[in-house]
Amino acid sequence: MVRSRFEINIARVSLVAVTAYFTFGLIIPIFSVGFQFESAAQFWETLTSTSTLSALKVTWLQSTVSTLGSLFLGILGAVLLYKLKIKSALFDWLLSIPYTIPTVVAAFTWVLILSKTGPLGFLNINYSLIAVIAAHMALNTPLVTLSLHQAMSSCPMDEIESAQSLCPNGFSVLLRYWLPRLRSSLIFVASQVFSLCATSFIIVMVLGGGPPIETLETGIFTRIRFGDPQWSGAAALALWQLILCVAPALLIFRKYRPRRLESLRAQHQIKKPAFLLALLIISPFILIYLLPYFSKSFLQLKFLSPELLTIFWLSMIDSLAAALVSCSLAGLATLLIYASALKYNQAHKVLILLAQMPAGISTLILCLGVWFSYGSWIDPFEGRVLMIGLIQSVLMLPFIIRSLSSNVYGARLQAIEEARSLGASFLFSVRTIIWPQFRRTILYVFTVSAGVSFSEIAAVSFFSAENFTPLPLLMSRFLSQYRFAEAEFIGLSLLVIAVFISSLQFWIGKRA
Amino acid sequence: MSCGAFAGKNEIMASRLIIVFLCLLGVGLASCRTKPEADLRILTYDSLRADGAIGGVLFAEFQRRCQCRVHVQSAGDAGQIVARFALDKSRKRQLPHVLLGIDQNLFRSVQSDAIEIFELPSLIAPQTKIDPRFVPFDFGYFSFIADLPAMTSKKLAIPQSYSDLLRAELKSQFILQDPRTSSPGLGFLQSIQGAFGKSSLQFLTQLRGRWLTMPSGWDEAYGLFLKGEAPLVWSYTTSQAYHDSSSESKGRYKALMFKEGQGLQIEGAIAVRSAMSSIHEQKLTKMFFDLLLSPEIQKEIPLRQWMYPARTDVELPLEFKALPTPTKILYSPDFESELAVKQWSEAVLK
Repeated sequence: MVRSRFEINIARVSLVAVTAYFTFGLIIPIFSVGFQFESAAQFWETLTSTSTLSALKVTWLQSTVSTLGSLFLGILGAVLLYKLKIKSALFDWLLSIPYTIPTVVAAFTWVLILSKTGPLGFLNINYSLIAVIAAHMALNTPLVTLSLHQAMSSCPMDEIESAQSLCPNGFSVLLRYWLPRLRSSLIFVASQVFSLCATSFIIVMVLGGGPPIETLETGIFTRIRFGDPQWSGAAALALWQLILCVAPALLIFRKYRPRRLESLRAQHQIKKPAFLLALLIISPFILIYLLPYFSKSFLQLKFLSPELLTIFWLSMIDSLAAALVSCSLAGLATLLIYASALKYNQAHKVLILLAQMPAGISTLILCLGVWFSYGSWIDPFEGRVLMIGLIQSVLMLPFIIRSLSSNVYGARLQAIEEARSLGASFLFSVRTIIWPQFRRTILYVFTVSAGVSFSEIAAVSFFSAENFTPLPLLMSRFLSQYRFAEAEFIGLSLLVIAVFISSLQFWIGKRA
Repeated sequence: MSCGAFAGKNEIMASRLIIVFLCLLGVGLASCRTKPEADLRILTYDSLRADGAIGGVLFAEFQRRCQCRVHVQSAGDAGQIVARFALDKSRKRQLPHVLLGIDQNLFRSVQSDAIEIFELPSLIAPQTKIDPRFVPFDFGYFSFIADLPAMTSKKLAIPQSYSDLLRAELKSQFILQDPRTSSPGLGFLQSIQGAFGKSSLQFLTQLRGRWLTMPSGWDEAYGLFLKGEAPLVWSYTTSQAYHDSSSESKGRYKALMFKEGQGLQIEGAIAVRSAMSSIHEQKLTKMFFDLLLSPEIQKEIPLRQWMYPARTDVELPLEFKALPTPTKILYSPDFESELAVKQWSEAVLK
């Protein structure tokens, strides 16, 4: 395609800007983590110390078991929904909810449910690796079910019928038809779940019960939080985590790219009993997060007390500020990445790969890197919303890039020139030509970013200050002050926000 | 239209984009503005400044007396004071004149940065005098706190010594704190080392996994204890005084004295050598320490910090007078916290 000079200029500027964004937001921080060792001997000693290897072992074990468990249950769920012929947007939406629940809320819910006085207290698994794995499975199973069910539903019915008639038995159909078609989705979702479990922080911290259950992520936290920070120890754990998560994530992304999932709408009447059965199976994965709000202390809380409401709104403003910055940066970065494709195809592929990298990088590592790199100029202790926004925007890029449709490639920027040659102003041209083409995309990016930003706690913990307390941090502060009912109130608010944003995201995603 | 005209329009658009970018950059840089200069900079932990804590009275009174500008910064908990100080030092940022609220173990990390500018009054409790550069303002004894009704309902015998923690019935019945991220957690290691000496590592290995949970901080641990997760928690003897001051929990929680003795925590302050650029700053710092150890501030310590005041001439509240006193204090100035934590890590994280 012949590009106009205008489009080439846009591509050039975009390439420079987005390269700068990745350099400052990702490359420099990650490399700075690797430069915290005084000598090669210290590097090797720290990397292979007993505690580092123990953290690596626990991380690998809990991530692998959580992933396998989530895959097992998720596949069962997907098969069940497929057998019940459920093709409803409602179910897609319901299955997407647990994924958006803030981890601090999930950890809090599970610790209450599994506590001595909780409904599942009799299991006696709280503060153990089993509790961590159970919570990870509960959060990730719906994601696996959603991905696989969508992949299964997008297979043509005539193909399936042919396979069934040609293959001698069900196992053969599974092996010869389903497995090749679902392999990409399966590997892709498995890598995603593995990364999420390996980089999980607050769930491990709270439900694991501390030492001896220590993962790479919680290990980083303990090495930098107290007293004289052990930078090299934290960096060693960070390097192991990068090896564990990023390399497989990138390889898988290059080799197995899942097909774009079709928008699923109800294609035929679903039978009521099947619908109810499916609802019954899915609902525990969502309703479980509402359990804490039926406690006596919560119901007795004075929600409308001026003190609580003032703190809540101030915290909400902080959360909104962080979300606004991260949404803007993520939106801008996404558009720039796509605009670079107007001319630089190879560079664009590299940018897409870079945008995928954070999927395997924990927030703590990125925070640590940003701290190492820019701590001399920007005080990490002063509630830097810009730093929080930068980190959050980098972290949410993989989700955005993976879920965006390819319509952005077809955008006609040349039309701006044509409009302007006819006398239209630049702003008018953007409003009438660019905005309609990118509106849905931008809104989608904003909802994804807002969802991540509102629930993210590691970056806000790293760069927060007394006068900057976003909602997840406020919740954890209430918990540490034994104000459990107030913490539950913040948790419920975060839950409502998460469900609202996921609904919005789902609705926009369907229409985009 | 010629290509040149396009280029002209593009230049205009590019300049507009640059203006927008500069505006955004301006907003970003504005958020990085520096704080106004203060005569005295104090770095402390959050809860010291919380409602009802000693900070409110102390800083207000100091500002009234010195008629100067005081900038108080908080850094999470006591451990984060040192973490922040270390980071600011490495970044060559403006350092605080005073670190307020570090304990004797954290003091070891910053002792080379401390300067002696203040002579401790003679009425200071002798066990708190560990270094001329360390200004102690309160202290407390570590102990397990027992929820007596919970112990009774579970038919658990009250432990009398650290060795009792290895009893089968007490498995998962007590909560400790992570010694790498919590002062009381480190205090537990110190107590164990004081009680068992060279065989402390063997005891810690035996103790591995016998606790219910080991949160990163005292707050979380005590919160779980109050929620009824376990009938025993590692805390301070003064926690009993806190509960006894409330009619709802009076007599319910008891500090346990072990036959081997109790660990000691001393909270103090230091003057930062490299931050003292003038005699005036040294005078202000000395004035601040004077106030910190004055009878009017020291008498507020028990019911605001829930610790013993460093001055021995302060009349203690009734709740404190009723507290058990340790038979032996398990504290050694030679305690090497880094080594102890390293050994503990090897024993527990394997």
